[in-house]
Amino acid sequence: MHIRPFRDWSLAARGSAITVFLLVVILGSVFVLIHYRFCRIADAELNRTALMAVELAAERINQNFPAIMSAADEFAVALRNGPGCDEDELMEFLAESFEHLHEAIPPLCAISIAYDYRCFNENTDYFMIYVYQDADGKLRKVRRGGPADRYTGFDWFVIPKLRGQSVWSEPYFDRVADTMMTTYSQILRDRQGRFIGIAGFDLSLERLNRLAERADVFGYGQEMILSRFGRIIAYPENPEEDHSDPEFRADVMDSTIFSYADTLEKRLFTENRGARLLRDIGRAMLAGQKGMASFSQLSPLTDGRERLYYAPIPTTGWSLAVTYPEEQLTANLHALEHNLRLISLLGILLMLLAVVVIARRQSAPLIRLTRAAREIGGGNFHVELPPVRGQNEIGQLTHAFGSMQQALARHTRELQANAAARQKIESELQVAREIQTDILPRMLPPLPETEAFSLYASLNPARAVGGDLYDFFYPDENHFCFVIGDVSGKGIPAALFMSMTQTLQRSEAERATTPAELTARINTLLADNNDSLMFVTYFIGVLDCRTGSITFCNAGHNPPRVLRADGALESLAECHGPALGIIKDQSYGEATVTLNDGDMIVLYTDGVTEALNPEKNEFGGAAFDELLLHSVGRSPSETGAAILAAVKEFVRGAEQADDITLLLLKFNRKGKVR
Amino acid sequence: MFLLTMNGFVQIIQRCAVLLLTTASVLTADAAEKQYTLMLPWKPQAQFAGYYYAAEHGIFSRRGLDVEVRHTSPGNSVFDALRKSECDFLVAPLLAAIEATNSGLEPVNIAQLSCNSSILLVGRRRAGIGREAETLQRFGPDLRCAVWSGDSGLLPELFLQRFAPAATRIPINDGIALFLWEGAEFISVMEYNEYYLLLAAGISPGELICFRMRNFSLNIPEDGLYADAGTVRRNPDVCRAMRAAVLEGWREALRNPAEALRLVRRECRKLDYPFDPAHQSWMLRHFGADLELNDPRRNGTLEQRNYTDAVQLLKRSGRIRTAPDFKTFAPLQVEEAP
Repeated sequence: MHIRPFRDWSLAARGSAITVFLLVVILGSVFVLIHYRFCRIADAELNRTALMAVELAAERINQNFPAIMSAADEFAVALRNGPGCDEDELMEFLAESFEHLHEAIPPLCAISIAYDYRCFNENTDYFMIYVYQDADGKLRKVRRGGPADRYTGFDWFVIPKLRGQSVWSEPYFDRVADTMMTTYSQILRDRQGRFIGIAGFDLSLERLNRLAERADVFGYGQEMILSRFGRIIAYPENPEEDHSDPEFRADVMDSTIFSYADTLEKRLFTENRGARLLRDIGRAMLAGQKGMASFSQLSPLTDGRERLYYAPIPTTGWSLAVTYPEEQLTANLHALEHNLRLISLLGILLMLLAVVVIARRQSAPLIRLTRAAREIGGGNFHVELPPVRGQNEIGQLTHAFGSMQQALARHTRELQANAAARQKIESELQVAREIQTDILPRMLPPLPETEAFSLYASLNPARAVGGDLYDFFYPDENHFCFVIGDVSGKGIPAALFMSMTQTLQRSEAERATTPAELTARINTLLADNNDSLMFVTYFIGVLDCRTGSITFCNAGHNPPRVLRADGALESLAECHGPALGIIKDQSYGEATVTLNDGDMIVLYTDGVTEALNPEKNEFGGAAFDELLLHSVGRSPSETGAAILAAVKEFVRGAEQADDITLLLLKFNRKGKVR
Repeated sequence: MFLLTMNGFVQIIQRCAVLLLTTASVLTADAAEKQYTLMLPWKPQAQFAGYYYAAEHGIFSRRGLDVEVRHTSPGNSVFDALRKSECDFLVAPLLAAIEATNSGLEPVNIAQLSCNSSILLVGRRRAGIGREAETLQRFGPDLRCAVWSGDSGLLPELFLQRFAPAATRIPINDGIALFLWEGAEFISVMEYNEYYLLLAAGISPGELICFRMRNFSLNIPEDGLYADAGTVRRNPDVCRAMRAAVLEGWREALRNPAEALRLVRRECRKLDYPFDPAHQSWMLRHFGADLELNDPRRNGTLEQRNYTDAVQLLKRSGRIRTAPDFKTFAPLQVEEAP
């Protein structure tokens, strides 16, 4: 498919394309920016909400522990002041305390008292009793502490003893209660403040798990409680667990967050960024920090990216976390993003459509105007223009176009009239030119009667008619008079002035005896009634055909040249008065120059030396003289043709500014006189 | 004169027949239908993967053995089970087995599986404690060391007697919680077991300083397969078959770690013990490496040198006064020794 270049597209198409492009770029950028910012803000809000839910849930879980701790503290005080060392009394005290506390704190599953080595009495090495509620809700009382029952080595006993402070144990699975438990080991001291044993308060974590579930604010997360040393306490069972791959499955209490990271890595058989992050998160969680992390391949249940939000449970040093599959968590956000994109796209498409329709509607009058313009261009000035609706740009353009159409029609009519007039003038000028040409003496053969000289004359007017003149005639049989002149200005006025000069010269030639007189007479006649203040430079010479002597009078004309047969070039620089027609009754002088055999006098008007080339440089007198010097031995016609050719070559087609006139006369002494 | 009535004769014949049948059935059952119990200490873990594997994949039965693999109930040792005739075979550390000979039992080593001691004394890296064990003694009683109270605690105790005699000993049953709670500066751990638990609690190896018992002339191998001396005397072939089956079970388990771990997991689940894949995987790898079964010549022989060292250590620590000679303690291996 051939696609036209953009510059050839219609205005509507170009306007639409540019507008659409700009719209797509600008609106697209705006949408992308809004989209990006919106998603960032929405995402941050999502994270904030999720983290806040985890913090709240952690705080709710945390609230369970101080109650046990203060109860344990009171219990220790009561024990110190109460039952003494009677086994039955002690058991009764323990049972009563349990019933009382269990009512207040339902997750409390059991209470135990374990005495340190021989701290119960001198005769008993190890003594431990505990009470608990069995599955049927019946209270059970148990005594432990035989010679082999060295419970004092167990963590719940030895750790608080060595640390000197009561502690929460790491969570553990209690087979009897069939639930996950943690034990608060309360230090027991005698009245002297000596360590005598530990009272253990077993707390079911089942309820805590339920509280942890509240952290899952979106309903599809996985809660996880991390113990003080990183053990994963609560983690939902996967109903679809695949037992065929046990190496890579983890259950509640099985793993720590760090061993889980190792499992993850082993599952992927490579060091994995998710596992590395998980270790970092684990350390942050154990350090009691709160925060959020996003990483992939965290859970065995999902393979995609996940987000983990965590907050500390400060009393026990545990940490609560919730993981959400990122895909699910951000599903609404993505749907919103998708809708935004769709709406943006739809908006742009609608705009595109609107732009195209509007551009086409807007450009329709232009198209009709274009068609009308073509019609007008074809000469149909009466074509109907599209109707004008409103005074908008199109309306104004149509108005202007209508005015232009009328003006064109009028102008064309005028042009036609002018053309007819000009044609008439042209034909009249042609007649004038012919008349002017007829006024000038015929050229070659100029004077077949004589051989005393040869002559060449030429006049090339710059316009239809010229202001230059030349003339030659015989005043008597031994003399030959030749004239050259140049009227100021050009065109018809100059031609008329030239004709007048020519006519006067012919009429006055018979009355005057010398060139100076003839010149003075013509001057006087021209100066009379010369309101237009025209003038003519004028050179007249009279050759004595016998001797070659020329008597001449120069009235402001360019100085003629005399090219001697031996190659010498002279300029007849004498000027005998101003140009004719300026000063009335001006008298003129005259001078004589003698031509020898083969000498040639060259007369010219300033159209020759002042001919301009396209660079506005003049042909110049020097070039003219140089040309003459190369014309020694040539005939006047050859020399004249050479001069005209040189000038033509010099001007290189530039418009001729002035009439070019030449008159060359070569004396031939051996020739016979008429 | 013996006067027998017809009824009396018939009764005698009947009784003889019953006696003969009963004797025959008892003899047959003892020879072919006898089920043996292999008692494993402690709780299910990858330390026993080879036995699970042999039982699951018919390695015992292929050798004509019907073996039930069991773990001791909590609070009982494998030697208690032996004493109560609850088992025919058992797995125990060498030191514990020798010590048991002083408590009226006659455990006999059928196969020595572990080749080295995996016991470490591990502490947090801290100012003043260098890599040299000699630096420990400068802390005197301020250095609290949590050491197992049972047989396994012997080697760490001997180590402490040599390098930190004044250190405070804290007897512990098991676990690493005391150490994590900073109730002790050092703790005895098995490299294949509790050491990983330290790492799994977020402690990096760089934070720990370890003293391996094997590097301090305290390299007494651990797990071995034992039976009562009477059993060995009566059924030496069964004991040899048992040894071969256990070694093969271990070789196969190490060759198929995923399957071995599956079995470990199943045992854990059966007895309600947690199963941490990473932990058990670590244990299988490290314990398995200690068996040195890559060496095809390994046939479960107890080195006499190891036995002598163990006896000397136990005598020196006052835990035993006498010990059976090597031939009595490991008769099968003596007879097979090159």
